Amino acid sequence: MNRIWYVLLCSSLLLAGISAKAQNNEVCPDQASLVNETMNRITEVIVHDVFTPPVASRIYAYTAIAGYSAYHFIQGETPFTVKLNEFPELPLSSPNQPYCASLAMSSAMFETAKALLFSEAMVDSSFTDFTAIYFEDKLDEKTRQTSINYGRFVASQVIEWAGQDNYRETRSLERYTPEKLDDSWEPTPPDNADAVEPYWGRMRPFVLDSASQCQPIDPPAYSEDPSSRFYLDAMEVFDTKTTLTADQEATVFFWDDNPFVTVHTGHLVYAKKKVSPAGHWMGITEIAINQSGADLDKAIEAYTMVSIGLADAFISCWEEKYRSNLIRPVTYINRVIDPNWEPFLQTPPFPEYTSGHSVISASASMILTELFGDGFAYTDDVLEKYGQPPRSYKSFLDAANEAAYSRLYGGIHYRPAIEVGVQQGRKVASIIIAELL
Amino acid sequence: MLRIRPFYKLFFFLLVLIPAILSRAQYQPPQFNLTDAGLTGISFSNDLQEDEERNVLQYQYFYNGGGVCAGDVNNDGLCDLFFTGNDVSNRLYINQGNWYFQDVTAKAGLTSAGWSTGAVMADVNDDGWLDIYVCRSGKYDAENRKNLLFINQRNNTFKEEAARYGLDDPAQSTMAAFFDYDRDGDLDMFLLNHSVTQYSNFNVAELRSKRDPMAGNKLYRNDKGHFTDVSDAAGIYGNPINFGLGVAISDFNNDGWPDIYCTSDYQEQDYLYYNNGDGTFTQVMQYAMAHTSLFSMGTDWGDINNDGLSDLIVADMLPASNKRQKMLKGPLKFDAYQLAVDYGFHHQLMRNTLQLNRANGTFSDIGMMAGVAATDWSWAPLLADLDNDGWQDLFVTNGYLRDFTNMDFLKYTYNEELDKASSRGEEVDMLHLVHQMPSVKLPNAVYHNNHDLTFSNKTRSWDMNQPGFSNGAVYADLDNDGDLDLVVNNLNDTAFVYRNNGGGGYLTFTFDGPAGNRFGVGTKVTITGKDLYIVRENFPTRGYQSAVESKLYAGLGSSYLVDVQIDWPDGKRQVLKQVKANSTLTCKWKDADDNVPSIARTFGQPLMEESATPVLPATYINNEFIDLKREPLLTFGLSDTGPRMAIADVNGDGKEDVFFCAAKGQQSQLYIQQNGQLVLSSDQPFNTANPQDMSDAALFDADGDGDNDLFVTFGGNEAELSTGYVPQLLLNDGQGNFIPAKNAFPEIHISASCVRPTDIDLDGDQDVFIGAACLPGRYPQSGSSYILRNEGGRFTDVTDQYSPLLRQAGMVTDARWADLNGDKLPDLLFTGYWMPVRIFLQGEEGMEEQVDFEGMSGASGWFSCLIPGDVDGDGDLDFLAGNNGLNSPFKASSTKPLYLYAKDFDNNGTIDPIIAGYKGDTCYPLVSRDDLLDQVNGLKKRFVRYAQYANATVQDIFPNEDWSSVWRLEATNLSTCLFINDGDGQFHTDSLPYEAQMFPVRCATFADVNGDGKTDLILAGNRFNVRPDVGRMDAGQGLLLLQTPGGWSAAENTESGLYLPEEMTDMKWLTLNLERYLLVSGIHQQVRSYHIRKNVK
Repeated sequence: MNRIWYVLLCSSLLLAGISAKAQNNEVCPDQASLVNETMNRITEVIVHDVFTPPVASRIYAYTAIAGYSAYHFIQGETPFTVKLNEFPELPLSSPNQPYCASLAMSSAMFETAKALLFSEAMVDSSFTDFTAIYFEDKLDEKTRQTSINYGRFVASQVIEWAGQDNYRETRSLERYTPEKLDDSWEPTPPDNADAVEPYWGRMRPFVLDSASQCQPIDPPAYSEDPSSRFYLDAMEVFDTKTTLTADQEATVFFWDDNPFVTVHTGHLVYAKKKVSPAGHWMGITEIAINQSGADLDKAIEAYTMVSIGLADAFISCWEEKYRSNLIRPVTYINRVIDPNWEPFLQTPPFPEYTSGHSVISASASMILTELFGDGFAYTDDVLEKYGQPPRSYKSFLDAANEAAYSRLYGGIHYRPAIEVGVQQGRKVASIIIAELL
Repeated sequence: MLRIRPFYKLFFFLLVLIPAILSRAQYQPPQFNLTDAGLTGISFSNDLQEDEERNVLQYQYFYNGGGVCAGDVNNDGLCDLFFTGNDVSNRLYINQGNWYFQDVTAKAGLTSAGWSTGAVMADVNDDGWLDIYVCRSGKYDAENRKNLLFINQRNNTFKEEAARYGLDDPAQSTMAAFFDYDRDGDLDMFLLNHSVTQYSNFNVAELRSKRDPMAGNKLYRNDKGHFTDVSDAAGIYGNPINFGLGVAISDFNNDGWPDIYCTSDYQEQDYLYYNNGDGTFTQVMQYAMAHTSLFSMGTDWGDINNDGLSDLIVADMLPASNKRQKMLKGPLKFDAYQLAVDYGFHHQLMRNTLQLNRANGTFSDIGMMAGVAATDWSWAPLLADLDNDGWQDLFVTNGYLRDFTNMDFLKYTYNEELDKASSRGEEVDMLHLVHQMPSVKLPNAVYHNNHDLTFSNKTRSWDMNQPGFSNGAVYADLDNDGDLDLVVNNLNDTAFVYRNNGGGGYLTFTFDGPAGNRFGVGTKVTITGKDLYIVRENFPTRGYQSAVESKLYAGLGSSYLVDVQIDWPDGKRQVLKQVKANSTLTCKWKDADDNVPSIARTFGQPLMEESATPVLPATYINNEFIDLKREPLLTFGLSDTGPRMAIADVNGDGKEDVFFCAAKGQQSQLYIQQNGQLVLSSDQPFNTANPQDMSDAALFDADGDGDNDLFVTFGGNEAELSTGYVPQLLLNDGQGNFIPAKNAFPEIHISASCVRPTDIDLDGDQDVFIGAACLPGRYPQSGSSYILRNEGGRFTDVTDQYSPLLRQAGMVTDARWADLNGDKLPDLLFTGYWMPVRIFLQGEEGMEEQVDFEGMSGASGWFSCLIPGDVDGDGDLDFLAGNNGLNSPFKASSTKPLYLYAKDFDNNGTIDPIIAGYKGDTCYPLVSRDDLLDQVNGLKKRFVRYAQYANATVQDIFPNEDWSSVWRLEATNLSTCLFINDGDGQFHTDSLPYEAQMFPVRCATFADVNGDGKTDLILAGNRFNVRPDVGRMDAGQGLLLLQTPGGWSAAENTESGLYLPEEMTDMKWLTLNLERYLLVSGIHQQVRSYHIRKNVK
């Protein structure tokens, strides 16, 4: 099938009577900001359409992979994405006519995002706008079409591959029912929303051999005994809210990254939307690219590596969440310690252990460190748009560490979920780095 | 000049007069007309000014509006009106007569500050002049929030003296009710309050025990003119999660002591407090009502069926139109609903609830059947006889300043504004955003009582469809003409004053009470006459933040002479005989006496009596299975088949034994009659747990050896068809010991609903029909039903031989054999979901379906049982077909059917069943956007916004669908029907009273219960495993319908003796010790047993 499509594509290009040529380097823009801009535009639609954190990470990963693959295939290179689990055989080669690799990349990314997002019209108009700004007067029509079509073809293959990752199947499985054991997770206030993605552990990982490859140790055993480890961990969450420093409190909201926080004012309910944890790390990746002066090669590689790191970390973490199925601090504290206690942050609707943000931030930060070096100091202004002042970090690991502990300060995780979660995320990242780089 | 002679004069006079008379006869003014504020002088308008400090974001009840209270403050015989203002001063209007009112607020000293909410007039200082108690709330400091008591100075002025009486409570108050709860002769006070903070956690047990003096409700006892907070000692909850918006005082359980119903908005439930008669109250909600409204607002009580008992209405915020419902509904959130119930909140459904008093201290919500459940964002319901026909009608105010219930706003608007603002370099101003929300005025709603537990919307024809943001309201007779006018407090608009143009006989009662309670609060009036029975109670606080005059009103219809009884709170009574209609009676306490015989109705002795010790000591333990988790679009679960019983002698001693079918995971049991008791048989047919719910059992002689063998089927909706849905035959050794028959029939896998033996071919042995229910997990698909022919104890599948149609008979729930055409050959009747009662007549060549359009097969429904009996004693079988009933959101008729479209629309392996029903002239899917998109993921791209989905029909949703490949099932009648056999396979429908349509009927029996020689009918059912947005169907308590010369009359539960409020699935008669017992089995229930009492008349 893939072959046939490619033959058709090639023959149509050949029929056009254009002789094989290398990339049109004179006019094809190749600044790293092209991939940044593409990713930002896709993030905008992700925020608009509202996706849960794991689903958002999947969109980022396939989008980046499609862009990265198109960018390299069109230049006749074999991208590392071919090593991803069940990646389709794409015997693609460079077209025999002028092309522009960056446009093929963006085309593949927009096309992939369009398939995975809801607001297709928003994606289309964004792409039209994007090409008008960056490519309109630079490329002739034929080169443009060649590149766009090439990108779309790669996208179609990536979308087909994505279609086999169990996403579709997990939509129609039996809906999750909370267990009624003492230590079981139950829906949390204020929305008491249904459990998010209970079967995400059944998703096909991108690099990990299985969702359980990095399975962490069990969480401390549930107990209401005031001398128990569990109780003490909960007490720490409880106490932390009152002893929090201003700076710690600032980290709580900085790393909230809840894509859909509802605000209740009487019968008025509205949601404040913002980037998810994966979106936040995509933004940090952009900062690293800009600050390091990375070229487009490096930039698309960075997005691809980081997004794969995030996506596999989510799969690994979610597998554990529904395996251990642990009660959230708000439920435990209201039941055992103080019925009126509320966490700083709205508790997201899925089990506690391990902390998603800890796992994925650890994974993303390790990959960024691998790509841009340790001790990469930067200022994170990704959330300025959502009213969060920028924060500065000594390194990616420093940031990830802060992100992890902010969940304790925010009152939505116990310490073990954070500390074990960081270990879990690093393990995921090291496997990915070893496999792909 | 022409001189007109007298004769001609007369002629001309008649010529002019006759048409005038005729046109007068033809012209009927509308029931109400809205008066002109310029003429009445009532210019009150509850105008709001929002600013940075004071707005809806800072005080969530900013748009909740004001109230009205009515009363004659100057004792001139005319009803005056007091309006409360939130942001504007309260106003008092003195009735000058002739529909003219004078605003005397300033002169009277009533100009107010702060945020007034509700107000009530009561003679607090006991001088015979009405004082005014004003509740205040808002985000003000405690000083400016203290409630006010204006003492009437008897000269058209008032003096504020709340502190002196101990009534200057600084709580966030909504409303107060003055009444004598301890019946010591003076007026005590219940204060309804509300919280101002948001509570979202579910720790009810913890929170309920707390007392928040600013948010919790309070009870004040009048101690010689000073009021003392006795809430704690009296058992009144005062918790911080209380959002009290309505209070109703009435003697709900008819024991002579006033009770309290108070509502709460948001998560906290409503409370019903029964007065213990010793100064304390008991909160009985979980027992007394099966569910309540969710966002409960105002409330009122009245007697909608003239049975002398107080019924109750609570307003909520369910819109009526398809579009507004779709814009409001988000995802189902089954787990959140279940979690709230698990934590101890009551079942709460977003809709107005009309709670019918069942005469036994409990109530059933019939709001859906009555047609009054959806009046949008509603505040004040008022039950009043607006057309003086003797039956209380319903008026509901509604409207909310901003369209808060809009899912697109929730999901998209804030961030769009955020983007816009940030592109201008600004921050988003939430208040500005709120002010940009649509502001839609809605007409109030008025419903006429149809005298049969249903109501008709008369908003248009009674000329009351003026839109507004209406809040508190009262009825009052402003012109003393005996009919009730209506006064409505509007937000940002002049108050509505509706003049009633109606006629009809009436009686108005005023009270001249004893010292301490001169206005006779708590007095009950009973009026009896030909076809007339009316009871009214004098408790002025009603609806929302409002109070009516301390008077009672009764429309008498065409009755002219009636008897009247006045019951004073202290027990003294006065009876007036032959009172003429159209007058005002002043009831004087000094004319009342002790020990006056009552003319009020008495409650008869029950016809049936429940056995103290159940005759059958079996309990049905149901395994938990949530069908909605696997089939999220199901309306109700199909997994709970419920217990069935088979009764026959199994050990040859001539006494009836009982086989009791158990659920999945439990063991079905055989009970043997021994020494006058049913005891577990020492030799059980089954020694293992059921692989699936045992859905039915039949005891009959399968192998021709003269004893009863046991044939069982398995059913439900929980697992693959290959896992234990295999019917079984067990052979009796004659002693009641059962051994599985080997190779008795072909391998059949069927989720079955029923097994029905008969000798189909008249060859002397028993053949069987097995009805197929839904294919597990594949609603609405079903497998084959079967006819198995007995060939010497072995059964062969002869279904095709009799009728291949039975292979796809649909989701069968029940079936019966009967010879309908007199040829001795048994004919088959069966029914089920989305089908009529289908009739298969047996002829020479198998069976032929008979379509009896006028009778049984004319209308499809959601039938769950088909019960034979000879109702009219003509020797043939009539049938009761138990249907869903009419007390649910589903409506179906032959012209506006309910449709079920089903297909795997997105080819993901699951069937997508979509129910569509008519709203107006268009058929819309009933499922919310979120629930449909969760089921059919591909639609997420097409319906990003709720507004895109709101008006979509099923055809719009799937525009390119090949409709020939889509199943379309239909229901045209959801009523439970009694079909009378006219012979030759023809039936006609006998009409049953609405009581029979209040709940899904799942089992029934025919018997002469009152000993009049006529067959009566007993029904039971209910359905709890229903998706929460449809709402549990729980209004059934077991119903006895007595056959009368004119048809059927519903016996009250006190008369029938039945009380079956759970999900009942089978009832059968058993003879034990020469007594006949009715056994009734239900889900999660011990089997109940009743016998008919003798010598009851």
